[in-house]
Amino acid sequence: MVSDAYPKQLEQYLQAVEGQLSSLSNEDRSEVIRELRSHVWDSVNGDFSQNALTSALATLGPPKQVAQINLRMRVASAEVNNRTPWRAARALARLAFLGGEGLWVFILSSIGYAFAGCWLLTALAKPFAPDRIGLWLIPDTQGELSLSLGRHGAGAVGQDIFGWWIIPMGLMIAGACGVAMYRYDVRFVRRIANSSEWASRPPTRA
Amino acid sequence: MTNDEDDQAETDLGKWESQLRKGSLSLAVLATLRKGDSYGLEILRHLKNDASFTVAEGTIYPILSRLKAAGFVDSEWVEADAGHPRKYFRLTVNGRRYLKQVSRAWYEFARGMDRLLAPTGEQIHGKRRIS
Repeated sequence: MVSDAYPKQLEQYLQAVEGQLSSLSNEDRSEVIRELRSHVWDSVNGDFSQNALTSALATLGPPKQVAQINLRMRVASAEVNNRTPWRAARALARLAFLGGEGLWVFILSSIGYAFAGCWLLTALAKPFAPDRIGLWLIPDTQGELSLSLGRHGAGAVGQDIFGWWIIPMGLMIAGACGVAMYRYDVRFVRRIANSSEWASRPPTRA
Repeated sequence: MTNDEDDQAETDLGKWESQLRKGSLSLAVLATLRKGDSYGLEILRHLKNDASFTVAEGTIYPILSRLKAAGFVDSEWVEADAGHPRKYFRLTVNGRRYLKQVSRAWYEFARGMDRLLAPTGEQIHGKRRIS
């Protein structure tokens, strides 16, 4: 017998999943929902009683968990084969919104790219202001020394450590740091795409 | 052995088995498609019945989506006899080739492990074990 609750309960479940998938494209989102609907139909195998449906949905897992797994995997899988730095950074930015580890890696990666950017800008700007751009060793009022990269105020006290060598050094450090960050991003995205750690776990009950 | 040591050994064994399953999951899913097209629930049942792989149901589609993104699997919606549309998955040529390569690597690895794990009393480094 078809329970009145059948379409309602299933559609509520699917709506709850869909609500969590807002960062997927419309096409991907409707594909996930279509897959899940078809799966539940297969699971109940013609038995449309409320018990059968409740059991099928419980076996599938809570909507939030199902949505999170789909999001992480689909975002990472879509980007993992396209290994340009831009795509890796974009995948990482999207993963940052989906979970703690993604956010942490995104922050670390941003710091790394910013560090590389500072060295690159310093190296590129040196020819235009050779007396004011560099890596500076600056004494403070108590005689302690600190390092400052970039632009130095006119007439301020400080020693330019590398002089013109800042150009090759800056380019080298920026390049090495940029490559390291790119590899770090790609490795993380690939790990998420290939992750199966959740797959053999039974779903937690809602 | 104390009860605590027994429990620890059991936990370690469980973790090891779990790692082994996680590492082989993609291969297992591809292997279920070797005989022909299949849909999500059927793949899950094959995994459970043929290989005792219990996969959380909500995770099979992301796995298949990953395999599709990698070019190993293709899919198609079909109006099935069941009365509703089903998404059927099949191995691509690349997927079949990859499965063959990984299967070969798996058998070589398993043969090596079999030799290492041969029952005690076998020849070890050319000497007969006494214990």
